[in-house]
Amino acid sequence: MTHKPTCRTFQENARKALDDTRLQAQMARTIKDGFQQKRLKGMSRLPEYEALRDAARDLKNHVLDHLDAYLLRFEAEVVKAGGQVHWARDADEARAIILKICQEANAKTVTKGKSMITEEIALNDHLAAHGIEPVETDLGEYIIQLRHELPSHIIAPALHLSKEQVAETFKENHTHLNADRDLSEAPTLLKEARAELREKFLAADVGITGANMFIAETGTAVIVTNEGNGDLTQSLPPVHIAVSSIEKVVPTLDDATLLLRLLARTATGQEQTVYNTFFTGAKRPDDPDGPQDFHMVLLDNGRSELLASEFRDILRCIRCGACINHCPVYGVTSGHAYGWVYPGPVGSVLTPHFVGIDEAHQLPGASTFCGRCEEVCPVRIPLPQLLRNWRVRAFQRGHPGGLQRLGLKIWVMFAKRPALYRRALSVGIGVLKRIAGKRGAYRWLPGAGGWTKTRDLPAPQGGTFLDRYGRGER
Amino acid sequence: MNGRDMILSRLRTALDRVENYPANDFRWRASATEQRIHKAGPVLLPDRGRAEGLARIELFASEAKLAQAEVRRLAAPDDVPQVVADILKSTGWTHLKIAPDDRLQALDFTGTALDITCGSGAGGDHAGLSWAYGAVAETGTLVMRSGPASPTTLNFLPDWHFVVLSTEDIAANYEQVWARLREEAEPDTPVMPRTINWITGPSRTADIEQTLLLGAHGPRKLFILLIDAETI
Ligand code: SF4
Repeated sequence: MTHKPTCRTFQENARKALDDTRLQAQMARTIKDGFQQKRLKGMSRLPEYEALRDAARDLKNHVLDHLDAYLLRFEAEVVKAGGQVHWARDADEARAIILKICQEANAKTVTKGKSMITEEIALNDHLAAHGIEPVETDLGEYIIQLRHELPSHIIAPALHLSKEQVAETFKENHTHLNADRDLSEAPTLLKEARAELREKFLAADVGITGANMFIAETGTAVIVTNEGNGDLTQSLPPVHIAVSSIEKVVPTLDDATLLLRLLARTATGQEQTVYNTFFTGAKRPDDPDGPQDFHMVLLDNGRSELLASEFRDILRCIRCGACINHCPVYGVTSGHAYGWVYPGPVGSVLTPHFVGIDEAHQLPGASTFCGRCEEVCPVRIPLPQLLRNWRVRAFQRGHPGGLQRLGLKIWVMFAKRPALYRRALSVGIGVLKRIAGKRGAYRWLPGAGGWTKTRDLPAPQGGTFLDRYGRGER
Repeated sequence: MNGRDMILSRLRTALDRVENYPANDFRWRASATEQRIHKAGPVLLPDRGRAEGLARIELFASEAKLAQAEVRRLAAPDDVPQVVADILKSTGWTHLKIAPDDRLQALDFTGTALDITCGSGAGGDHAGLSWAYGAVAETGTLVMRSGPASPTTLNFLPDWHFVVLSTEDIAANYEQVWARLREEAEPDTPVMPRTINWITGPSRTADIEQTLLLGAHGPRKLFILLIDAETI
């Protein structure tokens, strides 16, 4: 069993999020003032950023056109370096393979680096059900594991939580520590988590990580972390299992480098992530540390079907999170509203594929079609087009009028909450202005085809009506 | 059919389509991939990755500082023990774990009060000392290559990590480091060691309310001891 989706109730989920004033304040601060600003700053330091995006798109398209050949080459190189490759058709098969490796290693505890793929296959529940304790080691993942929640963001799993909530969670779970200790500040929380997890790192029998990409040339896989947790996970235990999905292969070390020049800059605005770790096979005979056994699990889980479908472009995704950070809907609903593992625009394209369009038919409509996601995607995935493709499929399955109805309901939800309405609108105006550019008009605007087919639509000028009213412009 | 054959056959069905021409034939795909791998090289090199000579060293140092690493310029390797001891003075720590690297083993720590042991990282290590395989100027990144002289765990377990770097090992860009690894590989052995770590600044997290905090699971502080190649 994978995580039970709650996508059908997206509207209700969203409404709850909109009424949560604490969550709203947190989202405003971390998304608009946080992620969006950081990306702009990161971009400004690399003049070649746009050209790198084109090159990355072309690279990923090339890989998708030659996917089977690259995977076979990768497999051969891993074997040469003393590792094993396992192919998993679906989530069940991946869980079974990983469980078997853990059981053969007599594993009692397993440390984990952050991996969305293991969320996709709901690995932790499966291991726990078989008496193996999985311990998430990325701080955000650790927090949501303690709370039995799904990540609310693909690169910042605990983005929805306040430090007070984290403190509460630690007090409930770290019961061997003094109950009256002061956990009011973030550094104290980090210190406590570091100490707790240090023990786990040293005791683990198996380490499981994801892989942001893997390299056919050398049989190498790559993880990217700021904390150093995945890096300890892949070097301390005697067995290392890396799980990745088939579309993440790249031809050469240089191609991986191209993507790594974009990933951190787009995701967090960093020049480079603190740790990029490249691992190849098992430890070598003379090495003083590293795992004796290395296993690479390659997951399909329907990606080979996507490759042959009108959703092929989503397979270029490098999971940077930028589309999520720039989505006005995500910016107010947060991640849990989407009801499954992957939130935001990328999630609205992927989730229907994994849980079925009947369950997820609302997600492709959970969009203002402002086009911001496509604008920021480092591999130029046409996300609005892919969402439209899903809406066609939803319509064919008898979910008519998804867009209009949901769009209207979202508007009604906003309209009942004036402060939010204002905020979402001011984001929207910024976006609209940017699209219009210097001309101050559009030749085309998503959702306004009927108008723009024959004429330009003037871009909104100045602020929102409410802004201007507030400034006394009457 | 087992999982592997099933996945490969599904991929083939998806790729053998007319519109995938000319890659709609597996033999063509296999030879195209081999060619691409054979011709491996930079795809698009940003200007920042083209610094040369002294500018390369300066760029490395300034980018590393931007990532919150501390960079010290040393006159010669013989200065390492005293510099490390001075930096550690404020902490009260008396133990230093050093990597089993000949160049580090040759250092004379007798003038310092430090107690030296050699080996992999351990859970309680406060201070560790390694020698970098290389570095990348464009982002101030250290490159650590695992092997008998360089245990990976020492890069992550100590609270404070000291890394000696020779100026001659600073590459302008990442791709130059890959080229060097390919060149140095013995025939019929993998180009890559078990682990390569790119390290850009000390460990950090923003997972609590997106507030940046240093020292998540890896070192809280990273000291780069930069030594002019001619003195080594
Ligand atoms: S779809 Fe694009 S922007 Fe969104 S996570 Fe994937 S790569 Fe990043």
